Amino acid sequence: MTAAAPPTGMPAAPFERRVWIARAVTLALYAVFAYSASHFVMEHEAPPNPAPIVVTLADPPAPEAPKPPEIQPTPQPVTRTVAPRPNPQPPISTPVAASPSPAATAVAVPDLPVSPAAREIPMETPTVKSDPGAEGRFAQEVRNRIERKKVYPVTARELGMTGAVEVTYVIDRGGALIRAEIVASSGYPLLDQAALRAVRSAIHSAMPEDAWVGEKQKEFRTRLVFSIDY
Amino acid sequence: MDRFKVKPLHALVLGVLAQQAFAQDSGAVQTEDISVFGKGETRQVQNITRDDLSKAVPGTSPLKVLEKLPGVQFESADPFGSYEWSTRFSVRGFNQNYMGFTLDDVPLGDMSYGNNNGLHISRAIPAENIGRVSLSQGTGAIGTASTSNLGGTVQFYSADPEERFGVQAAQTVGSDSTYRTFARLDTGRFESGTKAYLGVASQRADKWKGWGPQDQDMFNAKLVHIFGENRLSAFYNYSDRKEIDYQDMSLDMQHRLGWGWDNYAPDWNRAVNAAKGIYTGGVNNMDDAYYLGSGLRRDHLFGTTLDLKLTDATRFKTTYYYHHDNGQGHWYTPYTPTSPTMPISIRTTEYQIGRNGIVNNLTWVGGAHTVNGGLWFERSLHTLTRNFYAATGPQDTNDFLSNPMATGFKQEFTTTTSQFHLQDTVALLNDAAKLNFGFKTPKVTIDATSPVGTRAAGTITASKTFLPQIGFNYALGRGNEIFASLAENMRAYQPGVNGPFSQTQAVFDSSVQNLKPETSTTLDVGYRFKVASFQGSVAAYHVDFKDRLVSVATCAGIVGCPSTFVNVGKVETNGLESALAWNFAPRLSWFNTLTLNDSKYKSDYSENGVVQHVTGKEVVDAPKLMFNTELGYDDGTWFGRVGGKYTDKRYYTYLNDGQVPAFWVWNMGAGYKQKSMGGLRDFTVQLNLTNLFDKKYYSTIGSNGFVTSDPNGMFATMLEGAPRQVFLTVSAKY
Repeated sequence: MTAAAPPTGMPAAPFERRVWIARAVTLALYAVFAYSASHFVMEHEAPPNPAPIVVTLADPPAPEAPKPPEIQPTPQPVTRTVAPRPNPQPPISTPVAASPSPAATAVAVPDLPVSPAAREIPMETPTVKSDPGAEGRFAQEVRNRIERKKVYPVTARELGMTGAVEVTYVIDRGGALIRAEIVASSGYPLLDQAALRAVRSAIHSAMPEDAWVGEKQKEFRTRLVFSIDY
Repeated sequence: MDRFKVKPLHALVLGVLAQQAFAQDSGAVQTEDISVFGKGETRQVQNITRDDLSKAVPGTSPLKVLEKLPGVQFESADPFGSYEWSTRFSVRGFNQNYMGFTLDDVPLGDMSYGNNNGLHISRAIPAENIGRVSLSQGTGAIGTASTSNLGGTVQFYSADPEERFGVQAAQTVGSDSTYRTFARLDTGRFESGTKAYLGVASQRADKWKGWGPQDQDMFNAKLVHIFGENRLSAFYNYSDRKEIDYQDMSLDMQHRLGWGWDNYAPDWNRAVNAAKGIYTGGVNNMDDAYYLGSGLRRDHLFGTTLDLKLTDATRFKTTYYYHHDNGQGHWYTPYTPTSPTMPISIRTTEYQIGRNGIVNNLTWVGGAHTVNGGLWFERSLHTLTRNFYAATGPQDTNDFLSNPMATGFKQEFTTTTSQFHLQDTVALLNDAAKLNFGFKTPKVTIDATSPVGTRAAGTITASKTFLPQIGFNYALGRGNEIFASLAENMRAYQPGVNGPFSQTQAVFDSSVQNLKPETSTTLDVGYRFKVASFQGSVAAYHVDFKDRLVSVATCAGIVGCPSTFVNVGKVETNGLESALAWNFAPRLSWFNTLTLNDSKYKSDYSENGVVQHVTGKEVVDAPKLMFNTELGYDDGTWFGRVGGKYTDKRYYTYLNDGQVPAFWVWNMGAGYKQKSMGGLRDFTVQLNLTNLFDKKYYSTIGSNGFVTSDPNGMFATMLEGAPRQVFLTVSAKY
C-alpha cells in the first residue's frame, strides 16, 4: 500500500511549540489578572452606574508586593521614581459617571530618565508644606458633607434593616468625586446603595493648598452606621 | 520573534503599581463614622423611646412611662405600675377599657383585670425588650386590631435583636425587698440574615404595706429574618405572675384605720374572729379587711409576622398570633364558710383563654395615593368559673387550686371577631399635605353558655358597617405642622366576669333588645411646632360618646353579686392638650405637658326604677387638670431626671358626691454610664427614687367599680399610692 502520512496535529518544529506555550501562558496570566482585578473589591451587586475596575490601596505598601493591576491601555515606558514626592501620575481612573473606557492621557509621564538621586519636579510652588491640621479639618468637612446627604431608605427602616457600610472614595483637589465603592457591606443591598448614594451626592469644596501637597487626589474611607433610633 | 520578551504592558503595570505604592504615602484617610438613625415616627411628643424606658425604674410598665405625654393619666398602687388590680390608664377621660392595645400588631385585648380577651402589657413582654411605644389619641390607626379603641390606641413594638452577638444583664435591688434580674442573649446576625434573642426577667418584691409578695417570672424570645426586601419575625413570651393584693380602701376606712391599713395576713386568728363578728382595733364591719386576696396569671403569647414585597408598588403583611391564659383570683371570703367551725373559705374567679387570629394588610402605592386594606379575624374561647375551696389555716395557697368544694357559676364564651378596613392616604401640594380617609367594619359576636349558676347565656353581636375616619396634615415647613382629624369608633361588648353576661338571665333577656354598642365620634385639631430649641404641640379635642354602658355595683365590690348594665346615654368631652420640650442647654432638656379635660354626662339614667340625675356631672376618674414636668440631664456619662405630676381632684360617684383630693407626685433618677469598662460595654449604675416627698395620696380609684352615690365615704374602691421608695440597678453588656 502507500506510505503513511505524518500524523496531524504534531508541531512542525519544537521551536514553534514553545512560542505557542509562551503565548498561552501570557494569555492565561492576563486572564488571571483580569479575573482577580474584577473580583478584588466588590462582593455584591453593582451600583446603578458601574464604576470602572479600580484598585484600592490601603497603606503605602512595599513596591514589591504584586497587586492586581488596573487595565490601562497606555503602552509607554515609565521609570520608577525614587524621590519621596511622587511624580504627577497619569489619571488612573475616570469619573464615576463616565463610560467605562477611559481616555488615556500620557501627558504627565516625564520623558527624561530619572536617576536615583534626582529630584522630582513638583506641581505647585515648592514652598508649601502639608499641614496635618488642614488635612484633618478637610477630612472632617468631607465627612460632614456626606452626612448632610444621608438618608435612611424607608423600606429599610420599616423592615428593621440595620448595619454598617464602609465606603471608600477618591476626591480630587478640586473637590470632585472621582470614584466610590463599598469596602464592607452591611449585608443589605438597600443600605449599601443608600450609603453609596450619600457619598456620591455630597458636594465638596476644593482641597486647601496645604493639604496633601503634591497629591492630585485623595482617598477617604467612611463608615455609615445605620441603626433604628427608638 | 517576540517570545519571552516582557511585554510592555506588564512593565507599565508594574511601574504604575510602584508609583501608586509611593504615591499614596499617607494612605486612605479614615474619617469619623456617620450615624444614620431611622426614626419610626416623626411625632416625637407622642412616642416613648427606648431611652425613656431605660431611665425609669427597671421593670416599670411602659404604660407608666407614657404618663408624661399629654392627655395621659396613669395610676397604680405599686412603683412599677405593673400590679394589675391597681393599674389604671386613661387618655382624654377614656380609661383603658376604651383603648386599643397591640404588641407588634398582635391585639392585647382591653387589658381588663378580669381578663377575657387579652392580657396586660406587663405580661406580654418584659419592659427591657420594648423598642418603642406609640400613642394615638382619639383617632388611632385605623388598621389596629382592636374592637375597644374608643379613646385611641397604644401600640407597643418590641426591640429587634442586636446585630452582634452579646449578653446583657441587669440587677435591681430596692425598697421592700425588691429584686429584679434581667438577662438576654443576642445571637447577632448570621450569614443567612437571621438574628434572634432569648431573654429572662424575674422580679420579687414585697408589698409596701401589709404582708405578701408580688412576683413575676418571664421568658421572652424573638427572631428576625430579613431576606431581600422582605421580613419574617416571630416572638414568644411566657409570663408567670403571682400578686398578693392590697386592700381596697374607702374614705371612711382611711379616717378610721389610717394610711397603712391592709388585709389581716399573716394574722389568721384575727381574720377568723372578724369573720365571726369579733372586731378589734378600730374595725367595725366585715369588709374593713379580709385575710388576703391574690391574683395568679400564667400566659403564653406567640406571634409571627411576614412582611412581603409583592411588586414595586405593593406590599403584603400578615400576622398570626396565639394566646393562652390560665388565671385565678383568690379571696379569703368571710361570707361563705368552709365548715361549721371555719367561717372562711377561698373563693376564686378562674379564667382560661385560648385565642388565635390573623391580621392581614395589603398596601398599594400608586402616584400620590397609598391605599391600604386589611382583614382581621380572631376566635377566642374563654371559660370563667367561680369556685369555693376549703380554707384551713394560714398556709400558702398561692398557686393554681383544684378540687373545689363548690362551684358558684361557670360560663363559656366563644367570641368571633372580624374587622375589615380600607384607607387611602393622598399626598397633596407637593407632599406638603397629607389627606387620609378610610373606614372600618367591625363585627364581634359572643356566644355564651352557662352550664352552672344563674349568670346569663345567649348571643350578642356588636357590629357597624361603616366607621369612617378622616385626617389631614399640612406641613408648614421646618418642623411645623397643622393637623385635624375626625373619627368614629365602636366598642364591642365584652365576655367575661364584667360584661353583659354577668347579669342574671332575666335581667339580660330584658335588656338585650336595647343593648347597643358604645360609639364615639372624636374631632381633633392641632398644631405641632419646632422653633429654635423648642418642640411641642397643642391640640384641642371634642368627643361625643354615645350609649355608654356602665356597670353599676349594687353591693360591695369583692362580694361580687351580678351587676346591672346601665346605658347612661351620652357623654361629652372637651379638652386641650399641650406638650413642650425645651433643650435650653446642650445637655439639659425640659419637658412639660398640660392637659385640660372636661368630661360630662349628658343623660340621666334609671336604676332600680329610680331616676338618677347625673346630667351635667363630671365623669368619674377624669381629672380636669393634669400637669407634668420633667427636667433631664445627659452628657453621655452622667444622666439624671427629676419630674413631677399634678393630678386634679377626681370623683368616684356618678352624682359627684364622693371625691379624692388633688396631689403632686415627684420622682427622681440619676445614673452613671460607661460605654466600655473592662471587657464590658454600656456599664450603667442607676439610682431611682419614686415619690420623692413621700406624699400620701389615693392613686387608683374605682378598683371595685363606681357607684351612683356615696355621701358617707363607705364604698371601698380606692387604693393608696406607694410611699417613697429607692431602687439601685447595675447593668452591663458583654
